[in-house]
Amino acid sequence: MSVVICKDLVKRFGDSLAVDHVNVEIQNGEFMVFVGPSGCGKTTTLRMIAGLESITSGEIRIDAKVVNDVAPRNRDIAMVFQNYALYPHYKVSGNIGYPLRRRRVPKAEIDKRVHEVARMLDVERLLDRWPRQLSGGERQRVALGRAIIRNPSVFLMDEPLSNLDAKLRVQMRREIIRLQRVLGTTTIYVTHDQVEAMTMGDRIMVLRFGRIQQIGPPEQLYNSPANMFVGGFIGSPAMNVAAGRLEGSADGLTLVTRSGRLPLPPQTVARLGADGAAAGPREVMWGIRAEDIRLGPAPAAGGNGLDMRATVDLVEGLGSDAYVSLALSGDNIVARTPADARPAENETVGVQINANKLHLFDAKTEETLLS
Amino acid sequence: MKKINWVKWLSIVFFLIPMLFILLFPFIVMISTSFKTLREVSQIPPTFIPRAPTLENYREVWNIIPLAKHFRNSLFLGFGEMAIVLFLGIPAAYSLCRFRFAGRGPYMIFLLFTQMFPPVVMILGIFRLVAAYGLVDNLAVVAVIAASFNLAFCIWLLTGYFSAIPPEIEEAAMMDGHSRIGAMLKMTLPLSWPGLIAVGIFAFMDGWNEFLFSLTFIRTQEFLPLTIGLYRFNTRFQIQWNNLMTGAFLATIIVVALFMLVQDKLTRGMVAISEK
Repeated sequence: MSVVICKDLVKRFGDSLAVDHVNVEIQNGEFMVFVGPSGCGKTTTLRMIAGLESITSGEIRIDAKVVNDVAPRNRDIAMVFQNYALYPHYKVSGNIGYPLRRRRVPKAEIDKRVHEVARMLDVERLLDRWPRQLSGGERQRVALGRAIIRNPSVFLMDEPLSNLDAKLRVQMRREIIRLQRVLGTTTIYVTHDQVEAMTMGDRIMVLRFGRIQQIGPPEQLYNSPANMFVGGFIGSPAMNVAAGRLEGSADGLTLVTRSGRLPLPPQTVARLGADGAAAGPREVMWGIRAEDIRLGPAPAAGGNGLDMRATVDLVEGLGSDAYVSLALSGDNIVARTPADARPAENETVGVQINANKLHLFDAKTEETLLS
Repeated sequence: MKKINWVKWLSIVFFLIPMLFILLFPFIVMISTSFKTLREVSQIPPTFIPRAPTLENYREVWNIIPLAKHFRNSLFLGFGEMAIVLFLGIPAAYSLCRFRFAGRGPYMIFLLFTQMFPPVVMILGIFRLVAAYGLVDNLAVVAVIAASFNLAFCIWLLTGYFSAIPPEIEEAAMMDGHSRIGAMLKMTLPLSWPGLIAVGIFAFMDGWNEFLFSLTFIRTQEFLPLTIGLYRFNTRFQIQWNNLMTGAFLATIIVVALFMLVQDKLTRGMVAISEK
């Protein structure tokens, strides 16, 4: 187990800046997930930690030791690759035992450890097969086995589940979580799938254009996104965002939307802080999650929210729930309702927004206005 | 009763057998001529099967030219060129395939460009250079020069083979305890060995068939390869077809035997790679 620190990490490929001053500290035994869209620099950051990519500037420390110029083999880290990267000319047992063979561990000890790991990953019956004879899930288990056999101080995983089908992905996701809990090894996991990030990570680092957008536990990212990008990227369906204006009045602050006026509750005003709550109109972007919108008969009345009328565009059933796309005075928003309460398409419904769950972002910088 | 596949049989009879005959005809003539007397060779109309088969040519060839020495020299050229091409070609192709550096694309094109000059255009310049360094009559020099004309093509071939190996396999090996060179030696080379063998055979054949440089740079009988040795049967007054064909047959059989030796492994390697 180790602490991994990236300090002012920069990576340039020619003129393009792939990683832009990344600062992060991954704690002992922590499961950290790097998430972001394609080309955001998450894999490049991981590869720099692995030592497979040179560093333009900055510093990487593993257990207080600067490892910028340390070869990958001397960093005591193991990596699982997206395409598994099993050695095709070695059998499963040879693949799992390979790191120990390189370290000149006695053969009897290697055999013992290979069987232990294979049992743990349920691949013992496959030990005598060639990688080409395995299914995707089995290959992934073997790749995991090769990573854990030598008890490295850090695991790096580069989108290890993206080549698996949906069902197997869920199963392997659980197994990786279980394995990490049992072994307690510091793990850095790269994915573009926010569901994987939310379900697996103790903390998540969201990246965009090589820059950190936010680091925090999944709940924090979901409930208090630092900016509009995080709000839109984390959560499925994506957060509904629309333009609005904050206006001060005798009663306090009011959010003026295309559909109506919404007085902000005191706790939201308190989170706005002195700058955000300053009197005078201010252009903002307001956001609301699908589950914080309630649908009812049109028009719904009362409650701590904004009552509006909307037309149902599309209903997508998920079994237990349904996503309802609504046309709301020029804005398109998605609400989540129980499947048995789903409205019909083209029906006019009442939309009630829970003002306590509103997210407010600066219209220009797109940064959150809530503390 | 089993139905006869007429299309199959007709294509065998009217296409494959004539094709096979055309391809094998020079070899059949070569073998047939090696068992004829010179008199029978020059007979009109020519005979296809020797009337009085004789092994005299084989004895004569052995006695007239130092066949064993020519064999040794040709093997030296073949294996020498193979070694040089692989020794220089592997790191060059690996670097071109794995590293991104400024001018990589133009350099690949430049390599192809070097293949466009026929060696004979440069033979005079090369001879002056070799003579200036006092390296005439040196088989190793012939191997180096012949290899240099083949290297670019072999680098292109090897680059293709190396590109087919996912770089993550090497990176995994580097995480598991190898240096980059170690990862290349332990992962990339074993996985691309059908390609290495193909390039090796190609270079060997080129060395084995080497004629122009040997003719220009080798003066002493002692160092002549088989190609030039056999050329001695092409005299001012007549071509000794019987001896020439006997020598050619002996020269061919060695390469065929070598190829048959590795063919099985080569095919199995190719299948294994394609299953990955």
